[in-house]
Amino acid sequence: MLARVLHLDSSYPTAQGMEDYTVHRIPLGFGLMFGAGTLSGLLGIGSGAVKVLAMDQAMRIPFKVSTTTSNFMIGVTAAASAGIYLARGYIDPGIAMPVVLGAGAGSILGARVLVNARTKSLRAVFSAVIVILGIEMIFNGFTGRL
Amino acid sequence: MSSSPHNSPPPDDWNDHSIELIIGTLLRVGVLLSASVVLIGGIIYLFRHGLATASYRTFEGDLSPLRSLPGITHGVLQLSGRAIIQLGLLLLIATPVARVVFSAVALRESAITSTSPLPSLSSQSSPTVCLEHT
Repeated sequence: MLARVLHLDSSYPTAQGMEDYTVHRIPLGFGLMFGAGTLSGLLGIGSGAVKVLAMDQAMRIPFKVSTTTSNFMIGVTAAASAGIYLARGYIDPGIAMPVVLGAGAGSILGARVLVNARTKSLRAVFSAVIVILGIEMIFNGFTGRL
Repeated sequence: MSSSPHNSPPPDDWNDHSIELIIGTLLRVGVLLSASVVLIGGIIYLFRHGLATASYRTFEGDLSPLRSLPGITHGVLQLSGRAIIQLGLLLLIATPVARVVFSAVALRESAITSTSPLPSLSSQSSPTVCLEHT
C-alpha cells in the first residue's frame, strides 16, 4: 500500500530478463534504517550491513537490489560527512591515496562480479563477512581498543 | 508524441531509462576521473617523499592548507602531490553530490513537462484520503 503510494515497487535485471519486485513493511524498514544511521553516527562503523539486513529481511527486497542500493546510499551519505572532514583537515592525503585506489579498484571488480554472481553465494559471503566483523568488534570491545 | 503507440515505449518510461543511463555514465566518469587524479598525485607524492620516514605521531590536519579549495588549487599549481591527491578526493566527494543534483533537476524537469504522475495518483484517491488510510 505505502510502497505503491511512494512508487517503490520496481524491477531489476536478472539472467532471465527483467524481474518485478514489491517492497514490504516500509515503516519497519524505516525504523531499522533510523537505527542504522544512529549506530554509524555514534560508532563510525559502516551501517551498510544493517541496511542490507533491513532491506533484505524486513522489506523483502531482492538481495542484489538490497546490496547495490545500500552501497549507493552510503555513497551519497558519506559524501556529506567526507566534505566536513575535508574542510576540517581530518583527511590526510598520504593515507587516503592508497585507500582510495585500492577500494576503488576493488569495488569496480566487485560490481562486475555481482552482475553474474549467484544470489546464494553472495548471501554466504555476506553472512561470513558480518560474522567476522561482529567477532572483531566484540574482541575490540573487550580489549578496550574501540 | 505523434508516433504510433505500438512500437515506441511510453514516453516517460523512455525518459526514466535515458536519465538512468546518464547518471550511470556520470558516476563512472566521476570515479575514474578522481581515481586517475589520485593516482597521478600519489605517484608524485611517493616519488618525492616515498623514502621519508612517516610521522603520524602528532596530528596537524587542522593547520593544513588543503582544507579549502583555494589552498588545494594553489598546491596543485605547484604540482604538490598531496594537493593533487586532495583534488582527486574532492572530485570523488563531488561525484555522488552531482548525481543527486542531476536527478533533482531531472525530476523537476519531468514533473513540469509531463503531468502524468500527478493525475494518475489523484485519480485513484485524493491525497487526504490516502493519508487517512496509511
